[in-house]
Amino acid sequence: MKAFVNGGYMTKFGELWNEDLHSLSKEALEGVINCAEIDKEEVEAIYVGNMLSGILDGQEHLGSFFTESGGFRNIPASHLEGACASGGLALHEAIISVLSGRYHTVAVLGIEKMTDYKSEIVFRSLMGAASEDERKIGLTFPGLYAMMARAYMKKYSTRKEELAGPAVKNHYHASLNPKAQFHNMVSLSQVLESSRVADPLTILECSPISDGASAVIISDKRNKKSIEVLASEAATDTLGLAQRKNITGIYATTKAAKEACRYSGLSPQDINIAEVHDCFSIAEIMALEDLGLFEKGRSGKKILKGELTLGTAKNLVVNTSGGLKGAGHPVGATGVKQAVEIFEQLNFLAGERQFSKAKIGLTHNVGGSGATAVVHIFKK
Amino acid sequence: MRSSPKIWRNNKNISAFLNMKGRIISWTVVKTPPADFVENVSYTIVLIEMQNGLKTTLELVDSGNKTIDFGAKVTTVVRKIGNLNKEEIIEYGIKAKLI
Repeated sequence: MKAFVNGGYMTKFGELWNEDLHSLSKEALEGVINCAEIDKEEVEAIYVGNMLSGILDGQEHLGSFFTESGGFRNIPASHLEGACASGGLALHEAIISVLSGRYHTVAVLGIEKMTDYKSEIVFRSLMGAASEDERKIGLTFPGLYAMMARAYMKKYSTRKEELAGPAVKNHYHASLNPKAQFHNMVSLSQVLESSRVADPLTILECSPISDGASAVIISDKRNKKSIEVLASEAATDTLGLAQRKNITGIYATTKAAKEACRYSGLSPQDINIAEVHDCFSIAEIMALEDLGLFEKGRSGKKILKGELTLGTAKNLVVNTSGGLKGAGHPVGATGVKQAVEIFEQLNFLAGERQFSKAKIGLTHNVGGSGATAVVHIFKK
Repeated sequence: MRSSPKIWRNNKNISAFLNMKGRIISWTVVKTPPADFVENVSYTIVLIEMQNGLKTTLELVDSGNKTIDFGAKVTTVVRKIGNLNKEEIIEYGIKAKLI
């Protein structure tokens, strides 16, 4: 049994004050059905990735909420929550449902509406993804990743310029993506001189608060746009950072990536386009190494040299969508948006940001400070 | 959300963490806080490893001009946790101090 992504769609990401959960989901679901060229009635189930609707809006029961919004009456629908990896987990479960033979065609919706609330309220809500000990002392996710960054920089003698590199690259890529939150490019000095959010991380090394939705269609039948799912793997680790053996990498990523390579029969070096979880600049640096693409301590230098940037990349390009940093990070939507980007790249539909060698694509979605990681591999 | 039974349960564990010594593995200064901590900015959080091998994250307090660094020694102290309004129960917990 094989599973295919037969359509992909993302709404504009950003501060979308005119949109709500209903309108975003409606646009994403109608968009993906048009893209896959199927009838709405062919969708047998919906998998929803969302983290914050219950905390911010008091709205739970999201499976039913979105079948109603999208006009899919009476079909089964489930809500998957794994913090910022909610979208990736929803995709994972949807693929398993098709591979199991239970369904032939399902939709995955990743969605989040974050900008209706003050940033400190959003930060507190996001800390639902952390341990109670971390929440209680006023830690934030920038704070958690800042501690990882400091330990990483000490261990691998990483320069602050290397830490800033992913933000410069991803803003450039986002400038080529009409649906990205940011279209402005930033320089290394702008990143380094921007205000500190949690020392040593600056605000331009952190992904933004965003609204947006994304959707894919998973099917057991090919269409002309199909990309094949070669692997779909998820792994977990302790909720709290302190309980991990190593804080200069994310073990859940390593485990999910190894399983994905084993399942697909590929090695990390076969990947030539990747969407990785750059919630903070250090997260992209660690991800590239935890995924097995580069040795530990090496990826910051490669990013800074432009080796993973469109236009100068040779064999591997990373975060052509703009990543979480440039395209925006509506948390539940991100893991699905990554698959939409790979779908467009492998079909050569990515316009100005098309990578000419896109053949094997990988997505990497992380929840919390690394308590959940989801890795997918696709080919045309 | 603050809960009286939860505070009562957690209070029973505080004594086990008193006067422990440890070393700093990493740290950050939080400048953009979550709701409930806005009045406290900036504040320092340290990731420490205790002598018994236990690792935890704690707020660093009462450390004056002492310099934070990798491997710097800390001890645990009992302090009030969070910001309260007049109606709420005072919660105590463990914080860290440089020595």
